[in-house]
Amino acid sequence: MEILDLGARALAEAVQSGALSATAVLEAYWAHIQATEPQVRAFLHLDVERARARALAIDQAPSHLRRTWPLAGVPVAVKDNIVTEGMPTTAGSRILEGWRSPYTATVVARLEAAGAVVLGKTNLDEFAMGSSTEYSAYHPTVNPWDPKRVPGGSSGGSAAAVAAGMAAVALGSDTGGSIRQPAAYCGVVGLKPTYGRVSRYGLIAFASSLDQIGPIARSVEDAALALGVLAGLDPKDATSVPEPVPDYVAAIDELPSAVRIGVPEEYFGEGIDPAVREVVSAALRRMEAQGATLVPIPMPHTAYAIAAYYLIAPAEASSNLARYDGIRFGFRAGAPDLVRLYEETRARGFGVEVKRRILLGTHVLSAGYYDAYYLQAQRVRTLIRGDFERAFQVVDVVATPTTPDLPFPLGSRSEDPLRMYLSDVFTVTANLAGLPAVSVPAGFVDGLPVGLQLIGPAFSEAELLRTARLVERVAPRMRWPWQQGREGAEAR
Amino acid sequence: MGFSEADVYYVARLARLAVSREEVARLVGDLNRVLDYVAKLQSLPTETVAPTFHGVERASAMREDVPEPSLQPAAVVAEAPAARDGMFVVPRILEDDTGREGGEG
Repeated sequence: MEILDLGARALAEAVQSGALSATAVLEAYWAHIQATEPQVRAFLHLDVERARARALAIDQAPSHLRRTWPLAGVPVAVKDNIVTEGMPTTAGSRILEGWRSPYTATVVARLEAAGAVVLGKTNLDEFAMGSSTEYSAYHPTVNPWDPKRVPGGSSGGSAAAVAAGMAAVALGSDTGGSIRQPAAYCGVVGLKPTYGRVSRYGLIAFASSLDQIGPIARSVEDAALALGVLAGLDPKDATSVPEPVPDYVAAIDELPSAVRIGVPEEYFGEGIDPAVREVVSAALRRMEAQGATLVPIPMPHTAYAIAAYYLIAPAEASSNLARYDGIRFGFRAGAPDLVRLYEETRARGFGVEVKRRILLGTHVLSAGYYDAYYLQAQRVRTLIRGDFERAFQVVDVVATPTTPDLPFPLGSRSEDPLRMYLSDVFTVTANLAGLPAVSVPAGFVDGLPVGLQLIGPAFSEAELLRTARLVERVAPRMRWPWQQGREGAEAR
Repeated sequence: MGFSEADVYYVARLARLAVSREEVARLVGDLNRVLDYVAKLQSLPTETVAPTFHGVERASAMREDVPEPSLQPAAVVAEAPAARDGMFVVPRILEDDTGREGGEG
């Protein structure tokens, strides 16, 4: 068995038992990264020396300790809007070029305490604002299944790194779909946990009432393993909650026997690529054959979700990004007085999409507009929450396509912001309602992956992941991009 | 919903963001398209609907008031664009009648 073919759980068990060293795992990954990264460009920063030191420390640790580390020796990648002491953090922006955080995010500290080996920082749309990773100030990332297409975004670097076999698990952040949409486009599993489930201490804030960190992995099992490490109360994040953290890996041991799956027609209608709809519908029919019950449910406010999201998220972003003023960190433009220093620093440091959202957000919060825009959007948010609350009275989980379309060609939407925003049409509702949601590969159309999204009640990640395993079970077998052309290899 | 060039300059000023003439021409079009799209929300009756400000409503988190070590000032200013003696250096914001050169804050 090749090291690269092992998932995170299998790798960790091999390192825990001593069957593999963390160093051997890292070197196999490093060789693969050197061959693959020049084409995929998933990373903004790689630090193999730091990773080698970590792997050596794991190998030299007493075996009774190593056996307790759930991610012993597992190579992970971190989205570059999550801060890491000793490595740069750019958020994909020129305004933070070369900046190094004086502290480490709680999620990264938790991964490392669990034995994971951080390889580097992954590419993203600037400040996580985008759906293709083309708005990175540094370079685009390509889809490992088709290098002419986008990997999705904003966590496109993390999803591409996992799909290309350059990391076993990666961290993403999800404000309106930024974990799930790239996971769908890259054929991997992406989980946005319940708002408050995972600490955001050290996540560069975009829209604070929506942002959540979560894992991207090759399988539901690996996502469950990572979530168990990431989840839990953090005194440094007042929005994290004391809800107990179940053993997610044990929870998914059994497939659900009689799960009730809500199917909202609003997510399967107009505007969806018929080929995508067919893959998702076929997966649902196969789940039904395995004992699931499909229940048609109404979600009447779905059509308003994108509009509400593109008022709330820019409003909160315009406030959160006020801190990038050239005084305390990052880039500073020379200017004769303080106001012009602010204005020029921000003009030269931010890219076009970030500027659009700052201006939109400033406008909707400005005097005379607040009630009509921001407050109205927050009221619509209540209606969207209500759609889910009613649904969860009769179903355990809601199933939708993750995206209305297949991964699109590079450059085809970057000049059309509204069209780019509509890529998020099926994912923003879970953020607006604070609910956990996961994208699972459901099949392929012409070699391009299609994701099925499951949305569950707050803090139902264990049940959600169990149903996600059923999706995985009924989905067609696939070979990963690095296994193409190899005899006998199978992804799972 | 008409959003004019003057509106863009006004909002850019509020956001402390310098914008060029070329950028403004493009931003007017982009922002108007988005504002036209989000106008669909106005048709929903919401008089009786309370706003949601957070996805998961929880009481404010409280903790014991115990001092803990925080980041060292030297580590914080080390990444600043300009710093001296553990402090951020900024352009002068008050007029100084001694005629000294500006540049310290």
